[in-house]
Amino acid sequence: MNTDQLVSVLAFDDTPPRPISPRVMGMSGLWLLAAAAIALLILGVRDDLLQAMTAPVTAMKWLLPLGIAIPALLAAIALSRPVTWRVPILWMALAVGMGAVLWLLLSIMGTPADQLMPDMWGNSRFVCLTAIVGISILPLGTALWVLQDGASPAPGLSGACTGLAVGGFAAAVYALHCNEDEPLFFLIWYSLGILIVAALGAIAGRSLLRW
Amino acid sequence: MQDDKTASADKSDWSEMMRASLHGDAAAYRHLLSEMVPVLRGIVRSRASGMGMDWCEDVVQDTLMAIHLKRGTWKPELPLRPWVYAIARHKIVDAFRRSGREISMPVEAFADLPQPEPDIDPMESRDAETLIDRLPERDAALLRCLALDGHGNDECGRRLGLAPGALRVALHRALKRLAAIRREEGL
Repeated sequence: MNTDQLVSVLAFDDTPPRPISPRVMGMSGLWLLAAAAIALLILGVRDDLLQAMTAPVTAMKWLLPLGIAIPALLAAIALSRPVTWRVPILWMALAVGMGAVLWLLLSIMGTPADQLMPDMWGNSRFVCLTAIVGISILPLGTALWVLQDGASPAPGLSGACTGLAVGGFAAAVYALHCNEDEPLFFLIWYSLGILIVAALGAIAGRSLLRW
Repeated sequence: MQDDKTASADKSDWSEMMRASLHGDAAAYRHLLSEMVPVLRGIVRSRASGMGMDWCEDVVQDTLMAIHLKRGTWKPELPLRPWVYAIARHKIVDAFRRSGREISMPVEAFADLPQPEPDIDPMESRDAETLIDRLPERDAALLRCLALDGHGNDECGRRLGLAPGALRVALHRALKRLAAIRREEGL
């Protein structure tokens, strides 16, 4: 097939391109809701949810993950265009992440030595990680599948942003169940869960989002 | 080099043509793609010192396919040219990366040899035919009918027993698969 023939074949294909951003949000949003419903049916919702959501420290179990997820989602969508190299919104996610790290360090310093390990270790770290990663798998796969219609200048970064976003939302869902309210616990394990999903997204993105 | 005036006139032209294409103007689209071909050849050849003409033409074809399949990632309110250049750049980098991985001989050794004149216009790409063979049979038959035999939609639809709607879907899928095969094979 020479180039002129290729041009005429391409011109025959009049299937209109499909929009990316509404499909990413809609389709992976639906899978997220489904996964969230299943997870909460199995695990249950904490009894004192309203109190927890309105107390400043425990409210951070939702605000921090969402503060990372929302800018990461916007960055992932922006990165579906080949001319987008800079995604300043990602600095917002980074700032929230730095805030969490700072808070973690302050908490470590402010905790008596004999209390440190029990607080960090908690009682439900395995469930926490499993739930965050488990809730994320289908929405992450769906989001990456839709983003294959995009043309990312940096597939690995696109995948990582997608994973950060989905992982963040999944952590916020898991927080509806989790009643371990020590900042030392959730700062470590929620972050680890989100980072695992981000790493999965980066690895998958490197091959799935190549074009 | 074009002067600024011509360049900016061209820019709006391409963007206009793409906007018309996205609204279903097939003639404008074909015209736009044909106008892109020499420009893309120029870009690829100027970046690809030491690579053969076939190599360059492959990259031009990869770029054209990406322009087609990814045109939804262009924002119609922005000029088209920077978007086209970004696509071309990505495809050139990708082709170099693949060549580096798969060709072990130093290309510099051949850089000084006189290159054939780029006047063989309808350039066959390496083994585009072999690539088409790797598609599912009906995809391959459809592309051959449209591209190599040069028949129109209606004729090919008749030959392959496809209604217009089915042909549309089949063609789009075939092109997506062909792009994936070109990417994976990296010939």
